[in-house]
Amino acid sequence: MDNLLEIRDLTYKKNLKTILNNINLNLQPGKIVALLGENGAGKTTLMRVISGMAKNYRGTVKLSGESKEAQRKARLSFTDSLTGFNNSTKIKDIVKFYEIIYQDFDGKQFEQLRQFMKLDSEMRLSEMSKGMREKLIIALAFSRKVDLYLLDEPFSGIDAMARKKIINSIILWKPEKSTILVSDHFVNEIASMLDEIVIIKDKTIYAHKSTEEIREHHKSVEDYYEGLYNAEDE
Amino acid sequence: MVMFNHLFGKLLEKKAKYVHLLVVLQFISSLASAFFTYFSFYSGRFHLNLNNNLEFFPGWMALFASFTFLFGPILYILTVVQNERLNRSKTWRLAPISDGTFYIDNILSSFVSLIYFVFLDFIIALGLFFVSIFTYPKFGKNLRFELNLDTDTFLTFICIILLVILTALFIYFLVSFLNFSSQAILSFLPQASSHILISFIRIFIIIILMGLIVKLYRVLINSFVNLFLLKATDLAGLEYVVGMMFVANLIMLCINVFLINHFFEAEEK
Repeated sequence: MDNLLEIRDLTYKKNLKTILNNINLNLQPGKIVALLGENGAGKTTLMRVISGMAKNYRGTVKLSGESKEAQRKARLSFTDSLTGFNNSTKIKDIVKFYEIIYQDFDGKQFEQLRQFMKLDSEMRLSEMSKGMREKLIIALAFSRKVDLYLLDEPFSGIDAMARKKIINSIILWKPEKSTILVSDHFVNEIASMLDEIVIIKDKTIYAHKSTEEIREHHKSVEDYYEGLYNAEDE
Repeated sequence: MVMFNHLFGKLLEKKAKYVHLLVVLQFISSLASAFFTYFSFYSGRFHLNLNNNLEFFPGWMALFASFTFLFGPILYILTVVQNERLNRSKTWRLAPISDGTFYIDNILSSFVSLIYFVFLDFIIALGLFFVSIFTYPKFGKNLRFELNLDTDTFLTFICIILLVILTALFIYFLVSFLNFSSQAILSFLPQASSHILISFIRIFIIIILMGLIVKLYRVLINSFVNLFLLKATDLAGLEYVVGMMFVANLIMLCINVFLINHFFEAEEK
């Protein structure tokens, strides 16, 4: 099967520090992949490089065969913390923005997701809790019809119920042939929905395994991931 | 091109909010100024100032028109700041368009918002002008328009307008250049822990860059441009300045597009 995402010899440095070193990664269509690693491991940076938000890197990044940043951006949906909008902006106005800027944005799908997430379209950003904002970000990201979804720590700082809602929406609304790359520090919450895990450690891809393979050799994905760090501590 | 137009529309919509706000403020402040020119408040009530030669509406129109020179620069400064915020915004930079094209879109929309402001001011001033004519027939009778433009004066007028436009664009480009290049240089330096230190280093880089630009400008003027452009084309005076400004704008635009495409990153939030 052709790779959806191909990263070759990617190295990214900033402030004289190497953040990512010689990254090689291939992702196939239709998978849910967890990007795991400690704080500051480079998970967000890798997503920023894939989406063209980070610059001046060495190596190649191809998404559906396209290496140009504009083409890549058209084929991916990256969770955005919506800082480009004023706090007084209403959800319905953000939706209008998405409808105009992203031609692949599906208004009907957003409406379903909005109802599922119990969000009021008249609500302003300033009136939303962190969990509500995170739900909106996920709803907006999944309302686009793209090849790759980049979810950058969608569960950070939100309560268990909101987390459950977001996980359910990922499972329910994931297009069949699209791939989801979701970054997190913890694997427990999302382990059940994963097809593969990618672990970033020591600035590079430390492991890239299918969850099936892990389960054949280990107890669970959580044990495998925690085992990597426990072995190091010992 | 479709994406360029869609993005342009959205950027303009965002910037038009400032335009509307400032036009309303200009309208209200000119009205208040006109009111207090013609009325004084004492002994608990308003009194008409009888020593005014000009009627209320023509006075309001004149005040409104003159306030354009106050609110216009305010809008300009706001668009300069907004341009740089948008250039760094992840929300906007994620739009499926190259970063260079987004930058051009951003600057163009700011420029159009300035034109929109002038247009709205003109319409309102025209409205007040007609109200003045209808309410004070004397005002209309005393008006005289004389337009005696020879070709040279007309050309000078066009050159001045072009120069204002090119200068406005040049300042946009210059601010972006300083923002992009200082940010890019900072990313090649060791990370400083303190925000104050980062700001200090950034200001230091900007001062050095400004010095370099001034030096480069002098070198260009003294050697290359004087020798080739000025003598070969026999350009002189204002036309020459307009030509120079156009070339400078083009160079700055190319540099900024290169910087945003290759070095200037979107915010990390």
